[in-house]
Amino acid sequence: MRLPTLHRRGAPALADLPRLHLPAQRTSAVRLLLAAALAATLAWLFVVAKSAGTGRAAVFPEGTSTGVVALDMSASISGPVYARVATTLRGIVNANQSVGLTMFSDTAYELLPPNSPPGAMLQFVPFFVPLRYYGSSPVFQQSPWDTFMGGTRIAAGLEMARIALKRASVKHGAILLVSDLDDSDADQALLEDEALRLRADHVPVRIVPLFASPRDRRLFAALFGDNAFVDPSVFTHTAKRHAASIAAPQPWTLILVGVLLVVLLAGNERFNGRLGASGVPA
Amino acid sequence: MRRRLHRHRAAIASVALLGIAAVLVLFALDVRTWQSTVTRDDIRFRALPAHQALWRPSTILPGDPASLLIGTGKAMAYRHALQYFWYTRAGNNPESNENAPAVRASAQNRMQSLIGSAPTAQQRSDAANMLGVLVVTAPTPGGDRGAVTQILTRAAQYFQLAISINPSNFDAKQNLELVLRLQRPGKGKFGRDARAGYGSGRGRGVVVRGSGY
Repeated sequence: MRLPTLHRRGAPALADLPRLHLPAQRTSAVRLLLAAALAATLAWLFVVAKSAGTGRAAVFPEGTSTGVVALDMSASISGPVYARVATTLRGIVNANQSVGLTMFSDTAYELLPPNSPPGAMLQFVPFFVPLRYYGSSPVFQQSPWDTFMGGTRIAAGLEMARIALKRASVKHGAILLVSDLDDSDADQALLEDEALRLRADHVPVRIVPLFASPRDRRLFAALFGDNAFVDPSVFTHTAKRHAASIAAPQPWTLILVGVLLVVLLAGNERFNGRLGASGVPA
Repeated sequence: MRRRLHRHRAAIASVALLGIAAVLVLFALDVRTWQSTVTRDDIRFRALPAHQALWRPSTILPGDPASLLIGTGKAMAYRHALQYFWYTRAGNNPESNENAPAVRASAQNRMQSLIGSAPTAQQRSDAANMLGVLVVTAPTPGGDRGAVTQILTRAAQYFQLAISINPSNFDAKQNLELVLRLQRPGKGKFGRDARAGYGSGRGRGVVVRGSGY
């Protein structure tokens, strides 16, 4: 029995049609392969484009849903360091990403829970901007935590930030430590323990060092990795430098997938194009 | 051109095969170098734990494909972590001039990674045991009671993890016993004995063969 086909009726039969069987199969395979690759690339492009350019701050690692800033308010953070704190806070606000805020000295406490609007952090900036100058020394307004300032226990700050993320049920959270990293000797063991916990919980830690000594930087690089540091200068904008450091990372994946799509389309045109009739005048 | 290639195809094939054979010989030599270096450096490590540049063979082929094929990564990670553990006891890393806290942090990172990635249960258990040791021997100047309690609790958790991974890990069991006695010291002779072990390095496994504190 002969099954109905889409072959045109009355078409002249080709004498060497069986000889074209192999090339026809090869062409079909190439077409199917290219069609599948194009569909897959298009789907990939869609997925990648969804997360690209959403304005995530460069201070938090890629894939972070929200972050908590652990701000060092120990007695060693004062005067010129305040200017850098203010710049950092403004930079985080400009990144337009929901954040939380904890402050620590000898103890730690939570000021803003995770997922707070970035603008909420602006209310803390004035405390780090000088009201006036007495000679060359800046004078700051009285802050609510002047009496709170004491020694530095970074472990307490990190623990508070980790607990805040856990309490808010944040799954892909990160911590941004803003500190001079001059930790108390008595805090060493607890800091090591907290670093182990954070790694076990897969909570990435980024650090903005406030004029930290090389020795302290080495220790924190060993604890949280060499790439944990965020250069504080990325938050500043000067007349000469317009580096928009608080910005989304370059969408390299998106670009590569786009190029792949173009290559596949070109391949489709090259291999699946209609046959040109050579020698036939147009 | 095509005809000339066709005429000399046997010669071309033989040259290509000779090249492949040469690469394979070099590859075999690299495998042999790995074998001898690891055997030699294992013995060296037992005698001189702080010996520099251990388990780093000088291979011939670029990119060290022998290492990739044999799969030396995890085995070497375990050995390097062991050496880092010894650096913490020495107080510095002679290869990178890291100071004591940085060496401790690096050693802890390595041990924590090994707990999840070491190829055998014994190695994973040893890593958990050594991590417990690193935690419990962390300096606590000023004797902050809360910090000491927290550290002892965490160390006990790591020793328990080591035992759960490998129930025959005797070092971990003994270290756990010492920590539990420190948490609740008895009035008898054994309680005092546990105190002597803590911090002063007289606990189980401080000698070369062991891995406890």
